[in-house]
Amino acid sequence: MKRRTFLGGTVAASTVVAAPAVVSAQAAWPNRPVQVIVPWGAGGGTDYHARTMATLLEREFRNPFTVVQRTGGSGVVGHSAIAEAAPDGYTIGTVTVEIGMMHWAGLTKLTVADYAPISLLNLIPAGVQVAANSPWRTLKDMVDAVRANPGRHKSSGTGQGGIWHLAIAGLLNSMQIRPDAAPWVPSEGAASGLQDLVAGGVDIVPCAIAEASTLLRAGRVRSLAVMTASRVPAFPDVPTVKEAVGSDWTCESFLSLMAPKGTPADVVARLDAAVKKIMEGPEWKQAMDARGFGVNYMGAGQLQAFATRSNEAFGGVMRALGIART
Amino acid sequence: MIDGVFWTALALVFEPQTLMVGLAAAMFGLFVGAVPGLSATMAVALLIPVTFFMPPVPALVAVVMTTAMAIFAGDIPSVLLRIPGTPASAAYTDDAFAMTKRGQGELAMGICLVTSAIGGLFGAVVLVLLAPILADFAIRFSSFEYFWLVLLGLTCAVFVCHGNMIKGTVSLLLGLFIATIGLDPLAGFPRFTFEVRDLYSGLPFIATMVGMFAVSEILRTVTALGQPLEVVKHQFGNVFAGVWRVLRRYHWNMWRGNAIGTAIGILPGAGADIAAWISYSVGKRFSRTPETFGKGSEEGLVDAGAANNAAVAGAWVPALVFGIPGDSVTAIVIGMLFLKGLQPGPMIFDNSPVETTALFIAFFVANLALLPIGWLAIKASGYTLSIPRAYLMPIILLFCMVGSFAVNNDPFAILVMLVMGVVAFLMMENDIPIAPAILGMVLGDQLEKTFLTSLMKVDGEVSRLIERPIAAWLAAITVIIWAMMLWSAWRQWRAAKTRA
Amino acid sequence: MRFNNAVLGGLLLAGAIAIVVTASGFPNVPGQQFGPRHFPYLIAAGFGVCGALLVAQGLATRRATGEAWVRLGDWMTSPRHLLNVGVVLGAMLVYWWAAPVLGFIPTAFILLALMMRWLGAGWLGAVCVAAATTAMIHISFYSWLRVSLPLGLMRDVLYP
Repeated sequence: MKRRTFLGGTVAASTVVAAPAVVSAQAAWPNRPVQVIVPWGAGGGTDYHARTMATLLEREFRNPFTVVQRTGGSGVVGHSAIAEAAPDGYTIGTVTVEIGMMHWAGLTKLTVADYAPISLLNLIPAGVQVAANSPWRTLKDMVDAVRANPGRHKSSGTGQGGIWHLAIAGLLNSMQIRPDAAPWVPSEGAASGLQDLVAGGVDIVPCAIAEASTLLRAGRVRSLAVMTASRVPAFPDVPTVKEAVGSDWTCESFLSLMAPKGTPADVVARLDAAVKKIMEGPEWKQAMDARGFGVNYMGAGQLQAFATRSNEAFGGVMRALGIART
Repeated sequence: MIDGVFWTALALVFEPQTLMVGLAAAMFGLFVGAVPGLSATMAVALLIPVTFFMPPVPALVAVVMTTAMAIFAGDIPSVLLRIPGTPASAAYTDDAFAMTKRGQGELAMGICLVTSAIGGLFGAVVLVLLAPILADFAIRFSSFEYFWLVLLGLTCAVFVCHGNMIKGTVSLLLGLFIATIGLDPLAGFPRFTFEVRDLYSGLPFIATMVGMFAVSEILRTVTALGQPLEVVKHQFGNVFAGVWRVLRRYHWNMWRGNAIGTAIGILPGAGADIAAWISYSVGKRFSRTPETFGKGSEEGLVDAGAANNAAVAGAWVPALVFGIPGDSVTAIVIGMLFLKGLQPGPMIFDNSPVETTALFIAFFVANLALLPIGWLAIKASGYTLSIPRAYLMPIILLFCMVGSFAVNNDPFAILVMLVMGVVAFLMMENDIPIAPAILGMVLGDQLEKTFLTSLMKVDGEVSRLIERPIAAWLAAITVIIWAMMLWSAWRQWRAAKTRA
Repeated sequence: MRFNNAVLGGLLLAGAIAIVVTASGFPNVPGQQFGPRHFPYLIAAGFGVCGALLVAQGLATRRATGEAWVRLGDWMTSPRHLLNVGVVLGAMLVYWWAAPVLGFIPTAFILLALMMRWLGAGWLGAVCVAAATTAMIHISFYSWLRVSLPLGLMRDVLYP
């Protein structure tokens, strides 16, 4: 009889299995491995944050935190997997800035409202990188050149309509230049975009300044500006956009830890507290310093408000660019 | 330069704890490499949390050991069961298994093992001696150069076909078509997905490959009439017997394979799998007996086997010098280097001399250790063949399902494996080769991306695709090879006509 | 199951048309000259050419040797071997459907035991080997490799 119920249908059966989970989760969470879903590839910035955090959370809770890659579909696959997991505290994931972009592009219906935010993992400020042999010494040189010859200078660093595409489009837009005046050449990510920059295939890569740190130190690329309100501590010589050309445009990617909506509040609170403790510790600082990332913490409530603001801002840029479909 | 730094590094590598870590990593690499579906990339990703609290040298030793072992171990199921353990073994699976059926399984194993070790050592020597210079060259490749290179690689597909040329092309096109499924690489528009979200990320490559090789092979076994579930029952004798003869005979193939493998490894975005394909097809092109390729050619095995492990070391060149990954394994390694306080960059050899020297030593140790450890693995795996098929086939099927699932933790991969297995089974029944389809899948995405992004950069003027010097050279080579192929095809046609 | 080349060619031509029809619905990308449809067009063209050539080849063979449009493989006339194919494909479908619900351990164990028995192993051997294999894969994949194999029914047993 019982067996028949289970085999009756996937939906019915999974409800049966999931129902007691919520109860037992509150009893003694965590008592089995917790999955940390990462929507982006192994080796990238998000993966780096997730693996470092998972390793430290594992020590904190004395319970395995397993990083699970769910890549592809421009982030849709992984973000959906997090939102659709059973909200029992045993599946969490890294939700990135794209959650406020994908739905504007019509790729998914998911928004930040479909998650229970835990805490911010980091803010990743965008920079404007050019090759070391580029004639542009300052951001003003570059902006003037793009203004004089719209369409001639190509930029790259992520997919079409990705975060860094919006960074450059928004910057140009704020300077009363057509947002597509530096046409976008899609790439798999910042690493391949930067390589193309050094190879002379494109002229501008507006990716995170931390992603360019190795080539910056090697003297192969130059960072003209960072798109933040104040200078980035790891790169004190690089001016802000405001200092360089007077525009108020800023662009920061964020990555955060979130759980499926409906995850018990006490589990979220315990995770948030653990993340806060880890971020204040030396290992996290050291891991972030190594790659030129900062340490930025926000709790659940702050993160919710921040992600909602980010969502609105990018919606505006995407409409200006004509790539918003909704 | 052999001074204090060298001895310090040597002592670090040969610390008992480091050696233990290395040995454990070797076992781990062998297991992951030999299970169809689990790849070297995944093995290294799994190592990250383990190495997090280790000092830099044992962590590096673990990664180097794991990858060297995994790439070799991928050959073991190829030889035994015609199922490549990792994508890097797919190019020569047919040859390896054909040798086993001829009763030359131990020779095939021996060739794979020894060429892997030599390839790894060759790559390591290049890494030690030429890393800064070669990285500087490789980093100059833009989408233009890659476009011509990929086109050159696809031309190779014609050489990996056996039999009917049209059917080989159909297989290649099928692979290219499969590569277009999912969000398109430029605009992120879903193509041929029919609103199925699982298809957005495209057909998972590993599941497709496992389906096309493993499932089709299982189907072939269970439908074989007359010989109810039997295979060659054959215990392995001396693995190294005869290898020396083969290597002496084909030493030129081996060095060429080493060089091709290292070069492809150094280029960002292409790794051991593409290296094996290209080396194999170059080998066939210049072979005196190209007709034996695909049917158990020792020569083809030498060509490809020498290339894939050489690529592993090559991939570290741009990773160390510019922080730009040479393949998917080093993409993960770069994160680990940062964590261990080793900043990739041209200065890495000056800033962290002990660690980089230890890394070089690790490469030599790993590839030398490959010989005894690989020998043991071959001996142990030989017993697989004496397991009755009634037990073996279900176990292989389960491993394939779990392995395909594990890549992206996605049950959909199992369905893909099933469908592609049936497709490949029908293709084999109709003499359509499978290898070109796999190559098409590997290169399809790259071809489209590099072609279209290059056109974007030159505002759509096709003639400007050859305005950069290296691109022009590559284009010239491609065109010359095409012309040669057309010329020889025309001559054959003429000869056939005069005979008739 | 072997098809005459003309049949294969016909299938390819149909496929080429289907690709072109589907791809023509792909949109242009704002600000870009080339879109998602161009590469599929090239592939469809290739399929078309190969399809036409195969049709010509197949018709020629048929005229010369009278080859049938479709020739069934020997195994298709043997119920035992047909069922073998059914068992292999069915096992994969069942695993795909049942593993997320029942969990890896029960699904893998039952499937392995049944398949081994079907392919000719004795009951005792099949059950023992299936149990050992399932346990080994669970330990190596779930515990060591950290692959999130579904726990299903076994969750409360393994993690009370």
